[in-house]
Amino acid sequence: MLTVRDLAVSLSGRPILHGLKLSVGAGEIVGLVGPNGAGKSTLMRAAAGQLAFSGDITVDGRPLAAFSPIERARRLAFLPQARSIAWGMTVADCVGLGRLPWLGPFARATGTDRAAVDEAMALFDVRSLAGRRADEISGGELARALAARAVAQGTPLLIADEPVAGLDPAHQIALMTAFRSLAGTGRAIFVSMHELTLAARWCDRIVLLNAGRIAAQGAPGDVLSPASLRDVFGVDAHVGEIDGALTITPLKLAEGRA
Amino acid sequence: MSPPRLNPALAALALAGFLASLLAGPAGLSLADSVTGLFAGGSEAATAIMRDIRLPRALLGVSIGFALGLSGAALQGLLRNPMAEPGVIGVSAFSSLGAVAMFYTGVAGAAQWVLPAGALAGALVAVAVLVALVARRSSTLTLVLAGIALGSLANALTALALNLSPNPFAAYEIMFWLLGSLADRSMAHVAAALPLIAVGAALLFASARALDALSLGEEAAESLGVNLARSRILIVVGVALCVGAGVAVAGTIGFVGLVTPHLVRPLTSRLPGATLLPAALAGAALLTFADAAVRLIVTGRELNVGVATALIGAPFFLWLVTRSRREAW
Repeated sequence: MLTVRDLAVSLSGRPILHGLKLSVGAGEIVGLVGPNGAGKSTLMRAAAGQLAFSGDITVDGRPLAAFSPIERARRLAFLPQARSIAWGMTVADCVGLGRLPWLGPFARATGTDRAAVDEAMALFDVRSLAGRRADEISGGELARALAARAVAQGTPLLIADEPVAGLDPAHQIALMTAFRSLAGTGRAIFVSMHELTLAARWCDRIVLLNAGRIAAQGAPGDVLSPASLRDVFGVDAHVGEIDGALTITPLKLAEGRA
Repeated sequence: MSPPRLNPALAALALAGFLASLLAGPAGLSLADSVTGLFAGGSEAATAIMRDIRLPRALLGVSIGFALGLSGAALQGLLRNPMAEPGVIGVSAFSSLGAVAMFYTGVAGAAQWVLPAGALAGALVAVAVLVALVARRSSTLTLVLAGIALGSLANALTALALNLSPNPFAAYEIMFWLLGSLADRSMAHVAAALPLIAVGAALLFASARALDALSLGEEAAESLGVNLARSRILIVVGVALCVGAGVAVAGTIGFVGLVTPHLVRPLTSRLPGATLLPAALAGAALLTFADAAVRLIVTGRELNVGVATALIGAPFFLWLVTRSRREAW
């Protein structure tokens, strides 16, 4: 669904990403992890078509640059890291904004649009908030409402930048469960996060980014090893296994690191 | 109130304002005289008053109020800021500077079109600078900062013109212009302003979807298929046409653009696109009623409508701000 080859991105003349190669297939959740400043958000924004880059990014085998903004918005939804909302619209209207790429000029929402909004609200457990003002709900509720907005867009590819940051454990798991069920319907999901255990449990593959380069990618168990956590994050971590899934507990800063 | 009922209600209010503006005035025409003067051509004086004085004034009140309310709603949506208004991006200030320059150099009296042309040229200069800046460094913050800088520059130059004014009459003319007025305008003014306002309004209404998407932030808006650079330029040019045309024929009229979106927002879904038409209609109603009121309240010497809107608008806005306990709009 999403393929990235030889991707390099510079911001204000400073090189941020170098020679990245990765792919996200239909029905797959690919997690992006890495230290602060590794370039995760830059990679996500480039993949969403919002930054100039060199190299190739294709969606459905078609170069990103070949899409018009509307065509792109119908294939690829992007959930930015910043959870901002202006004006006190209702949660239902906020989620409904995800349908904008599908509305004809000056046309009103159709039954299909309303069904997509309703389904997305149910998936992220915000249906009970539908009539509340989106600027008056809690941070965790807003995070879920905005995730529902991106999913209501009904795209085969979803790129989400730290969607679980700031959520309580139950809602973190609920969000990843929702992503899993979306992947079950054939959607491709590319998601960045700092919660390593969550990433290891819910992602099919992990891409580990360090200083703008891919340090490792593959199955969670291969990528998130004590050695790579020490090299990339500079922490000694306990990597265990419960019910066949990894648990990763960072313990202390690695030796030789201030 | 649901949008299907809100817009007709506000349109009726704007129509009432238009009629109030037609019927108000020191000449004290009766209702019957007014109507026959307008349509059938009764007495010569009544016909002249209605067709040459009151009709253009009422038409300008409706169209300029519409343009100001619409511009305010569009700018608040674009800048995601409830304090935004046409004055913020420097277009009003540059537009009046253009007019002031015509007074200062003394060419304003040469022909009726000189003054509006100067004001429009001023608006276009401001827009050209803004569009050039926004095209190069694409951020809303750049737009706001550049707008504030442009506005300050225009105000400084206007103050300079007042300071160096060649004679007290020129200074008086400049002051009068800065206060804004719809008095003594002709159908030629209407013909100059209306087409510009119509084009500007079309650009702003076409941006409604982009404004809705922008309420989620610029990155999310872009992911929803909005071409940010193009939308910014469309909206800035639309506002410049609306406001430039207004300033060109009526001087600067403040607070209508700031206050009307706040008045109507609670009655809508609060999505920026949904506030455009209600704010425009409320602006038309507000300005026409204010313009009718200034003719009736003060007898002898007429109050400038720009003074009236500021006098009504500023305290009202303060009340709005204190009433909303939280930072929610």
